[in-house]
Amino acid sequence: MPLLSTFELTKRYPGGVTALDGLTLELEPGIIGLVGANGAGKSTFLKIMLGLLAPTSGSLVVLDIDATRNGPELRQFLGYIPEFDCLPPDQTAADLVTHMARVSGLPATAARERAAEMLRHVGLYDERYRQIGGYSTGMKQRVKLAQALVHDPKLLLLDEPTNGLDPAGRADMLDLIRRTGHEFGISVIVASHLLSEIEQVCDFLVAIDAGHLLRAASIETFTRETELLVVEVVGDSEAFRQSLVAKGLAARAGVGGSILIALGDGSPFDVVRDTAAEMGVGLMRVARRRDRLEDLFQAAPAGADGATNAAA
Amino acid sequence: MPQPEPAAGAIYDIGYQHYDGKRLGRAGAVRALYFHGLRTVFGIGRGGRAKIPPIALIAIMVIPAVIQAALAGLGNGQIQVFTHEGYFRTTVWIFGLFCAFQTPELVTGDQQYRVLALYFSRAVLRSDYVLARVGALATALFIVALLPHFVLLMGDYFAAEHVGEAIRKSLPMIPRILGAAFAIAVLLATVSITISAIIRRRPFATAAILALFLLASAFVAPLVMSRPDKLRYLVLASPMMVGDGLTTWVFDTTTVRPPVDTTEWVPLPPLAPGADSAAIAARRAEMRRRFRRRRPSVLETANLPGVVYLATTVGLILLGAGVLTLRYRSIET
Repeated sequence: MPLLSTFELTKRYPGGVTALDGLTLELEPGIIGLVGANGAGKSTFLKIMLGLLAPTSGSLVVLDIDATRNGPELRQFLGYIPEFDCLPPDQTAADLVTHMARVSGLPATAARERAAEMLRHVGLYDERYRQIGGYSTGMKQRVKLAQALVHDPKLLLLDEPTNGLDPAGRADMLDLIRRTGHEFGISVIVASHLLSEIEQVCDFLVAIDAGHLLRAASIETFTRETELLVVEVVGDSEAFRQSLVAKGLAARAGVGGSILIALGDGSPFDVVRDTAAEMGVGLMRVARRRDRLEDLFQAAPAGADGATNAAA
Repeated sequence: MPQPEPAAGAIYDIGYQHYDGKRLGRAGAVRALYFHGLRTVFGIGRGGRAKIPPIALIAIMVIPAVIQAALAGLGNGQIQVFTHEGYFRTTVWIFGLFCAFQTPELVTGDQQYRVLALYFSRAVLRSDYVLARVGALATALFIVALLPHFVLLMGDYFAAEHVGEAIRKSLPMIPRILGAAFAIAVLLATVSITISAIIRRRPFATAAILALFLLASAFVAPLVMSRPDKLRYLVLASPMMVGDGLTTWVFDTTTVRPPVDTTEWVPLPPLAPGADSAAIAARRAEMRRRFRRRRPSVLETANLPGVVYLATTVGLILLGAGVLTLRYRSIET
């Protein structure tokens, strides 16, 4: 059973804005990153998954439940963290998380126990009887995570979970997401516009832009594709690059006269050596480098027109 | 070699535990929202200061009933200052204050702090949320409205020589007490929740509820009194007057007060020609007293049939439900 599958999922808002455009996708359980620029349709996609928004057309099945028809039934098994602040300042974390557990359908005793347990998991055990109004942004984000996990969901949906956090807070949150997915065994979908951040925790990446699917692949595939060979030569760098291209290598110009070659599946080392010998240029530097995923989307070959916006 | 004892009192992190107990689903969620709302109205679970207004208002609400119960004990049930049928009119302003201070707490915070996003990501529909909140406030108002009647009844029973007979005599009163309290509770709850949900900010919602519940009647009353023939339906613009009219009808007291006891109306002897100023002042005071006693209330002046109040109550509740449905459907979470 796939975690989620969509077919031609489309959402048009009354104003004529198309948030999702014919999205067809199938995802397996794990930690899934949903990346795209602001306004790419990530939040809309999450809300349709929650059954809070009705799609204009197409279908969406989450956890074997039709999200467009059985929203309430499906939401029993989902945890959700909105991207904005959504906590009442005049309640304690313990009260709020207990209350949300009961609203999620847990009996009173179980709600109290699990609320305490979840607050311990997210590292707020000692502060749980303080009012949320006095919490830092990082602590509030943990409360949001605790309330989303308190009813033991099968799938956790996170909308920009690291927004507004300092570097230490980001690292903590990413670690919590990793633990939720790998230790707790709960599937996670993380929507973010910060690729470099969520690539640290995801097993699988889905990139969308302007409502279109750009890429969906495992993180290994992405990583392999982003490995680069950086070559610097003494001599005519541009001519050298062009002869590499003529020999079938995907070589492009980098900064300061360097040449970037996607490693991909093949091994370009011999070609680089032979070409350098033929042309009589000196090889000054040959090094492997890991490109950032943003760069990949900039050069995305997926055929989408808006590809260059993906990392904007 | 003996094995070393394992360290006593070690804390084991047993890790994340999955939950495989009972799940109560949508019904459980609505119940949780309802009871949470009921606690919120009475300030339970919100710190000491939040409990002061509801407790103070309930205390003030019951004071007239306690006085009446004491009078019943003293006067063998003969003295009737505060009655079942007149109690709502006496305490209208307490109901107004209670709604104004306790209702916004129920719904404005959920919107202002966007807690609704958390609720609606659970197994509840938006209408479930509205129903749970209105239900919670209506239940609270029902309890508050019933308390003084309970005290009045107890006062009667304890004052009576034969308790059994007193209970029997009061039996026809009980469905009326319950009916009137229920209608008023649902009416005031729906109207004040609707106002709070639209206005969204606590202080403004409080002010708006106060204005509609307490100032509207003060505004309407002189208009109705000045042109009863044309403007009598204006009483329906004040929810409190609607509630008052409905109560009066439920308790089956005629909208016009029974004619004043005529024995009191012996004509005053003519003043002696050389009456001194003290006698004239006394005569004036007596005339004024009689005039004031006979002056009918606003509702008596309007003299609308009870069914009109019932229909208006139902209409206001339906209108509120409609507005609330639209309001919560349009909220983006």
